[in-house]
Amino acid sequence: MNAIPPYALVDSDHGLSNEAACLRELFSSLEISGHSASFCKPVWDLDEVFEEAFEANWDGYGAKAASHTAYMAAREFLMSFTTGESPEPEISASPRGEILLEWSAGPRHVFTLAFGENGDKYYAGLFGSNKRAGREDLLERILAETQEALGRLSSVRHSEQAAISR
Amino acid sequence: MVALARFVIPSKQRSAGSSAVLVGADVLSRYLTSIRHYSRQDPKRVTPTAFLPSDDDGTTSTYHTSGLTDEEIWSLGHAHVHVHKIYGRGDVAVSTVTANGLVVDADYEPTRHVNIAGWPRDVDDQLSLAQSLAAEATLHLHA
Repeated sequence: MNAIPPYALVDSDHGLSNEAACLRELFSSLEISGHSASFCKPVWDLDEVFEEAFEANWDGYGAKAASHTAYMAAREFLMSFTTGESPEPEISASPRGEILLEWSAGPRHVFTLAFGENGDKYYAGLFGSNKRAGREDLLERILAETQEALGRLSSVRHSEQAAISR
Repeated sequence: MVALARFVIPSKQRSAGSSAVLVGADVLSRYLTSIRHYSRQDPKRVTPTAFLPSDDDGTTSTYHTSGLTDEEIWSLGHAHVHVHKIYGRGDVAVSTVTANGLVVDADYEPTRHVNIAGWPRDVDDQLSLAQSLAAEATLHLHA
């Protein structure tokens, strides 16, 4: 699979909307040995979340506006990450202005990433009765942590599907 | 876990500003003010985001809704939560909050208002606690 450098086609064209950039990447990627362009949907969701949380107190509880640095960090992550068989993340903003990405296999099996206003990256996972949480500075480390967590969630989904089909 | 004694005045007679002590079975409702506060994937559920504390005072604003009808609960939200739309609410027991090491501060300012306090400062620890609350919360979508 040929990786497309994040922003390679975006940074050089400041007049390009996110949607247009996504479409441009989609068509470019299709020309390069079938690279999956499934990242577009999460990126569009991210843009929607950023718009919704663009002003302070967007939640009525005094939330800070979503941080642009957090948005860019989340975008970089989404452009670098391939979910494979996993569902797309649900994206939201936190009251402190972080951007959150969340995957779940039911309420007791949840993995959340948070991208902070200083570019900090945090994660927290609830896997039944087990918990895991921490902070990683490197994108590669957070990608690895996410892949591992999604593997655990995938196992839960497969177990539940097997139980239903019995 | 902190032992809690029941407040002696029946809940419906409590007025704004008179603090209350709640018991473990009492229900706290977090009004969901964003479509992102609940998951639209099946099974629908409250998302951890909904319970994260405010940046202003580090607490999560909820309302004590035990003993109220569904209609009264929504009216309470519309009266005190100032947003263009309330999408639903996440109900969680006081015992769930305290079992996770958080503090229930029933200031009743305004009426029936309860803060969930005692959140850690670190983002990852907050997320972890919010996941635990959301896992035990019951989602009620607003019609």
